[in-house]
Amino acid sequence: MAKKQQYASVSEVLRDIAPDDAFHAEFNEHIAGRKLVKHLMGLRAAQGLSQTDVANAIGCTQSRISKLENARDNDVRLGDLRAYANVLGCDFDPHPVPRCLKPVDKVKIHALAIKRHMDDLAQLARSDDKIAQGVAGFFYECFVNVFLMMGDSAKRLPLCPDGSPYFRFQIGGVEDEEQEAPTVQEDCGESEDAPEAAGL
Amino acid sequence: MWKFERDADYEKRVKRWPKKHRRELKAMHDNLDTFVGALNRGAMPAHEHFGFIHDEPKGIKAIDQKGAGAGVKQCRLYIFPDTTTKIVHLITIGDKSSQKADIQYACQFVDSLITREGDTNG
Repeated sequence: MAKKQQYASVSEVLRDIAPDDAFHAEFNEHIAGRKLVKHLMGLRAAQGLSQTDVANAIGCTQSRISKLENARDNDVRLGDLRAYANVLGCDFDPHPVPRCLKPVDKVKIHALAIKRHMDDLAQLARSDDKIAQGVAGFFYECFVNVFLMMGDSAKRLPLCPDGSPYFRFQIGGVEDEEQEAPTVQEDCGESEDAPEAAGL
Repeated sequence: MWKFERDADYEKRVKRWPKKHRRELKAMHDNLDTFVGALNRGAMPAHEHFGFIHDEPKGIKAIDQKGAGAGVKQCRLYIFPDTTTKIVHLITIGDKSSQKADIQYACQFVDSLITREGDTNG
């Protein structure tokens, strides 16, 4: 039996079967306008909390939580979102990102944030040998996983005109005793400033 | 991450969904998006806390049109979140008038899916 096509999102599901193109566009716009609210709803469900649980913790009525969850992000008060997030044990930290930011700058912002958090962990590791061992293990795991994620993204790149990849990611012979670092092999890639030159 | 698969009956019915019930169709899929978003954040299909989800036999979930506003038709989108494969099967879609037959169809779908998965796993 032929394998059925799989879809990664509801928008993808609807792309070619929505009653018309306008419906699909309308749906995407609707979903995009409720991203934040949906995120909080997902966290609530993952913690097994009901609307009443959240309402009781905040000190409001269940219908107010229901109204918030049915609203669009733009129509919700920031204070309500903060209170909701607080019940879920989350800090609500909206930090505006300039719309003109280039994709490569966005990647850099996240990369620098990762470095900052890892530096904090390295600092924490100085307090105790056991913690240091745990942090070292996490650093290795983190390094490999980030490398694999980057490799996955790299696979989505188009090929060079000669049909070869721009570069290959490869992890080989990873052992506990002898941790071999992943390697990056440039095939026909441009210089590392290429993304900037391409205006990304 | 959970993925989706469409059954032929779902595809057929969505394509022919009446224009005058667009709000319902949009709301059901919006709710589906919220439900799967929760699954992706670690929620268990059996422990959902959303008012738009109704439990049906064999682990089938019926998602209604809540959020579409007033004066809308009662509709249901029947899905089966398969925890083994992490695939949400979109089985069929209908209104109150077809509810009984829709649930029956969804149950048959799940039975045949489980048999197929059993065959595949030996």
